[in-house]
Amino acid sequence: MHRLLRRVALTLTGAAVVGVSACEPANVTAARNDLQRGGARTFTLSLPIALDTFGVADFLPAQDTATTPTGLAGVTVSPESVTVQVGDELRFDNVNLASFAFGFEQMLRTSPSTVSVPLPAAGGLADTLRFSTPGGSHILSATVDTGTVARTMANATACDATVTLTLVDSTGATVLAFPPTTVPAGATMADSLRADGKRIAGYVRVVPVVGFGACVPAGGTQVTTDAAFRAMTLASVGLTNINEQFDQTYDPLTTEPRLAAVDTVVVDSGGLVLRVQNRLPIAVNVTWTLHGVTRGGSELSGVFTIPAAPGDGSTVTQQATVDLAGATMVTGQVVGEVVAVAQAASATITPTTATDAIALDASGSFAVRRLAGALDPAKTPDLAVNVEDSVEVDSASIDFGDFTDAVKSATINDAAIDLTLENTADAPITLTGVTFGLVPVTPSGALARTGSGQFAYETDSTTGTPILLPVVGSGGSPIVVPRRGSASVTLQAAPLVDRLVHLLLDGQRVALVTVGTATAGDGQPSAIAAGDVVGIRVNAVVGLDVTLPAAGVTITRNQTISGLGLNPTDADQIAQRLLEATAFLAVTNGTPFAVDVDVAVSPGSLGNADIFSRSDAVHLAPVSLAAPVVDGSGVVTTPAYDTAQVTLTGTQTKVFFGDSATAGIRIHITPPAGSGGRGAIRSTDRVYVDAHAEATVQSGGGS
Amino acid sequence: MRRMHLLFGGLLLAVLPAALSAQAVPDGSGALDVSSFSRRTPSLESDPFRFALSPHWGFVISANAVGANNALNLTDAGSLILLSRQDSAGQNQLRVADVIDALGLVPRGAGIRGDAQGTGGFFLGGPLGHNVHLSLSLAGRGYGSFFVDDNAVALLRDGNAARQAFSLGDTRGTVLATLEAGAHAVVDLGPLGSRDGVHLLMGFGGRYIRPAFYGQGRSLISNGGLVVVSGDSIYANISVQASRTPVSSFSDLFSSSRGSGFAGDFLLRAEWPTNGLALEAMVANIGQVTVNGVENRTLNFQVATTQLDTVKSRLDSAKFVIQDTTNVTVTLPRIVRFAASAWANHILQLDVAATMPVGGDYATPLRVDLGSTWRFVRPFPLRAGLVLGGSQGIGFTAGFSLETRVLYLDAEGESLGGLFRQAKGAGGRFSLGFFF
Repeated sequence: MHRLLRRVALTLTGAAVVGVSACEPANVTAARNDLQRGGARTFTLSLPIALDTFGVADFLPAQDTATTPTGLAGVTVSPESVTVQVGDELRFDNVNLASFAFGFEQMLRTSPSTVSVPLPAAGGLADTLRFSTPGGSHILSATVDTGTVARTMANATACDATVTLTLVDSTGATVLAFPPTTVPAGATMADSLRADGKRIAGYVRVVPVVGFGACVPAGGTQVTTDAAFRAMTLASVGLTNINEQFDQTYDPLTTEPRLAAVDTVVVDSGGLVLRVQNRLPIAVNVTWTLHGVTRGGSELSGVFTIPAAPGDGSTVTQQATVDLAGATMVTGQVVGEVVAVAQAASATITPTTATDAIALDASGSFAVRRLAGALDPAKTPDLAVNVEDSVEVDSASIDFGDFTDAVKSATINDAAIDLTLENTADAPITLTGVTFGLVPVTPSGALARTGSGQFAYETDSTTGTPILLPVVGSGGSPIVVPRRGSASVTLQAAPLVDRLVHLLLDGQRVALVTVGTATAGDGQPSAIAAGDVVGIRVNAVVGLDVTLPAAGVTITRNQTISGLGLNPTDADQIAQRLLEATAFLAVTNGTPFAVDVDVAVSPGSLGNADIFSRSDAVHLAPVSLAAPVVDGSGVVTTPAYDTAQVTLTGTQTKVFFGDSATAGIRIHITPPAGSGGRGAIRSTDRVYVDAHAEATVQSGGGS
Repeated sequence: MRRMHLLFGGLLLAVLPAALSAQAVPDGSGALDVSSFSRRTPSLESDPFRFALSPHWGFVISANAVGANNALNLTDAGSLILLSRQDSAGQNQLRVADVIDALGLVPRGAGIRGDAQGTGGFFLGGPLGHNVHLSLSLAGRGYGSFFVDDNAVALLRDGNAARQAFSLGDTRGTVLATLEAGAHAVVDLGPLGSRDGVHLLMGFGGRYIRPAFYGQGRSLISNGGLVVVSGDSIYANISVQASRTPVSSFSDLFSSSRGSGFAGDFLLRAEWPTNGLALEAMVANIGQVTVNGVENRTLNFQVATTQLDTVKSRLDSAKFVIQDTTNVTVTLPRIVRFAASAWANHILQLDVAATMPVGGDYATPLRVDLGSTWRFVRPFPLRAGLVLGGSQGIGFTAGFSLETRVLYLDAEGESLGGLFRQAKGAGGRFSLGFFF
């Protein structure tokens, strides 16, 4: 039954098909003519193309769009970083420790000596004095410079005594003769004589003579005569068994207040050159110790054996280098100590050779590993270091999107640089005289320099002066980055960024160079070490405030658009039916530029081919949009409203009927009037486009 | 509806005087030998009682169908079919421009509407005694109706210069195919009054219906949603539902799980055998059929934009989504027909029949058939007639029958709204029966 019903259904259906098929026209053309029998008619289709608002951001890469502090639309430059190596630049150059000088004048001094001769003594008793220095050196001969011999006569007798005292040296020469002096019985009398200029050879023999006159002193009573040689200063002395030494301390930092102002200095590298002079005609062993400076756990010291000097007052010098690498200097504890030992069998010493017989000085330079203390640049100028760093800016750091061609021919008037400074030191860092500049990078990757070795900065084309951006705080004050902290500042850097942008867009290699002075410390307890830096992160936003040349700028771009996806036969038919197609534009231009647009369209996806030169291109009538009213800064005050229309024939519209088409667009931007060619686009500036199309289509009209 | 009744009444009044004034069936005239079965002029539309008045037991294979629309003629349809056929390169030749041209054929303000019905099957019937006639039937029936609202085609036909708002309006389409098994009986209550009195035939019957296929498309938004196309913007809020019973193989059409229904048919006919006048009223196809497993798919299209590109992309992504599967109860298109016939002379029978319009999913317009049957040779009637009403204009019918004791052959065709290729509708009927 199912089969039977199926056959019946198929038969009926087939009959219907055959019946209708019998009514088919002879061919496709006849079929089309039949469908057109409805009579010719023309109808109009009005379709919206776009009612949209375009902001500047729509033409810029989304990830690079920003707003400048002045409210302009802007493009961000990829952040760059430079590092100011403050810690590594700390060093103390031309360190000159205080000089030390000490003489062996002690060799020109005698120890006080006293001899006491009691009389009477049978045969006249005489006694001998042998002199020595306070250091114990024996005086062989001497010429007294200054000295006094005092005679004390004590008459213990009952007779008046006349005392006469004569001092003779080993040669018998009279050194001094005291005049006879009558000492009453039982009295003591004293007098003295200057021995200045007296010469003593060997020893001095004291020869007292006592006369009683007629009186005979009782037995057991005497007249005692004392001859006291007070300490004498010798004009010259011949010594034997010389063994003189001194141990003196001194403050070596009196000449280095810059070091003294710092509590602790840890030296990274460098040293001191120690020079020791000897004026004595005797070889001297000198030991120099710098207390308060340790290295490897031991105090810094040096030992010298300096040969004898000629003895004419000239000196013999020795020097040595003291390595300070790793040394720690606690400046408050620094004391220099000099121990000098002069030993000889004999020598003749004079003030010429004894005065400042040993002189010592130390000088050098060293780099700092760490400084701590109340770091005060006023007291330690070495806390201010010259710094420089550079970073090559990648050409991909900035992308102006559709505005690239316009910017190439324009001058950028607004560019803000945000600097974020990070200080790793435990001391505030003050940046003074720091500038940013642009230096070309050579093919070898080095920074270009002038013949004198200076950076070959990019210069202003008018003035010829380097384009430098001072890195300063508000009001032009230096930037202080707090200890282990950060600071930020925004600088207007239009000239610098303008040059940077144009170099990058031209494909030239360029580096951002920073030079200046970084000063650590503020007088408060601080510390800074090698490796401490101030990192500067540079974020630039280029505002779309540009000055265009009077002739304007032309931007060319291609855009692939979707077509209607009709096959060629359909497209031909539609094109024949399409009497006219008109696109109407009503544009409110909120950007500060006048715009002339030329469009040519070719079928297919053609990438970046030159559409205008193609033979299959359909050229649309140019569209011109007037520039709005701007103020002197190029900011739009009154947007411009303008309309335009473009008409295409049916054949021309065929270009849009395929799967895709490529439009070549030439946009010529001219600057507005009244602003000197300057146009500034705010992030709120908009272009309002109301576009619709009207197509007149004919249909029917066949037989 | 009131106008249609007035129209029918007027026609009846026009025919009736002619009929009343017609001659009585002349003695010796072959008309006296024409049975009720033969007098009752066959209709190209559905008639469940057609073979219930068969004078002899026999079976008939019969099929009839009629379809028409108000816009496209047969040549237009042939053109569309020709263009839709793929060429030697395998490309469809129907172009966008062809569719736009075809839209120009849609009458302004009317939209394009069409309907079609058809029946085919086996009928076994015959008399039971003198007064009862019985028939059994096994048939398939199909209904189809579509309407494309003028609002839906106006945009591409007229453009949007004068108006910008469009919609799907009342656009819809529906098709139902059923398999039926029926039984009908006609009781002849006559002659009444006298030997030559009127015969009152009362027919009744019913059909068990099993749906074979159901399909429907309609807008889910009242008034067809809204489409606004202007130079500033395009707005559209359209929601369309397409429902159908899934068919994976031919045998699915006969699946018992598809549902069932029942239809009742009634006939009242009065015949005056002496003067040949007959008046008839038939109400048939009263019933519903429940269709199970109807798959409903919905397409929603909403857009409000000022960019043409947005519309294009939305159109590309719009697609039907299966919403649910439901059971649908379909009210069968009711048939209400009034007919009258009379003998003008011994060879000419005039008929007028009015089939009332039906609303709903299977809407059909008012149809008035004016027919003539010429029995130059009694068993070989020739028929010709006019069809009035409908949305296609005047139609023409022609046919013939062969009515013998053992063989019954009937064929008729109609051309609606024009002749042959210019017709906007066509119908046909073919019946072949054998009497035992």
